[in-house]
Amino acid sequence: MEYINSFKDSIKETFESMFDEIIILENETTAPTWILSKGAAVVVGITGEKKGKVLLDMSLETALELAKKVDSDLGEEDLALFTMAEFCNISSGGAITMMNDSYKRAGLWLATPGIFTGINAKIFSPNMKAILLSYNSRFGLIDFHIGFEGV
Amino acid sequence: MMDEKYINSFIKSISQVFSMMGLGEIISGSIYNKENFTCRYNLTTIISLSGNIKGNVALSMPYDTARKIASAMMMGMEVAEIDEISVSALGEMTSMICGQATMELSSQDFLIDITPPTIIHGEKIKAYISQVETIVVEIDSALGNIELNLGLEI
Repeated sequence: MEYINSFKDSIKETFESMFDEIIILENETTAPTWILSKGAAVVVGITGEKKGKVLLDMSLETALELAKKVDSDLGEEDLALFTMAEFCNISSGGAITMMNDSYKRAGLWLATPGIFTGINAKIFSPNMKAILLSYNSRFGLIDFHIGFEGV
Repeated sequence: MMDEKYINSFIKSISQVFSMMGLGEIISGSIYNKENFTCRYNLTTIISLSGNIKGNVALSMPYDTARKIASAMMMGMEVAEIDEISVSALGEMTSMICGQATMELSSQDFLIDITPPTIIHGEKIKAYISQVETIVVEIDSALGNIELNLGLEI
């Protein structure tokens, strides 16, 4: 599970440069196969030699506050969600670049992010072993579920 | 509007997978550009594509349809509620549909890879699967309605 360090480095670096804020990793554990979303989620798929995904989950309020840090006019829900997707995409992109550089045959690619909101939304990632990285920020909790098939 | 050949590949694939799994025939109905992001139904399965064609494919369906499909895929086992086992069956069906469709597109010189499925269900679900356009195909099956959403960047 060495790959998780690439994600930790990239998430921290991306968050600090994008939002000019500190993010603290509070817990790292095996992720459950399903979650009850905090309100807003982004899924970025990974293809290549290994298939996997990155699931980012936070409350809508946290997403709105973070979006304001990028542009004070970004108050609307849709724009906040796109900012959240961009954060997930850049973090994941940085991580798989590190992995592709470290393991020459990794050959990983990112897919287009999907953004989801809803009430009492349960999100499932069947047949995948994932790690849950739980972060705290000034604006609320931020969870990353990162996993690959067969790893 | 997205080229028909991409849309048809996915409709054909749903028809083939349904037939192969003994889920009955399908009839494709209206095809239109989605104006908002709200999912019509409570349960949505999503698979992402990378390569020459990037984007997301989402199948949205009511709980009743989801339970019937999961039950049929599990040899008629009763599915009283959507749990991890039934969700796994629905994810497998979505993988088969996207795998079949991308295989057909690959024969037309497209190089496409697909991700593992994600399944989301709840109330008032909104799904933003493309920053370009999302095409909706309404599908009627013997097991109930399904909404095929294609958010592809070609």
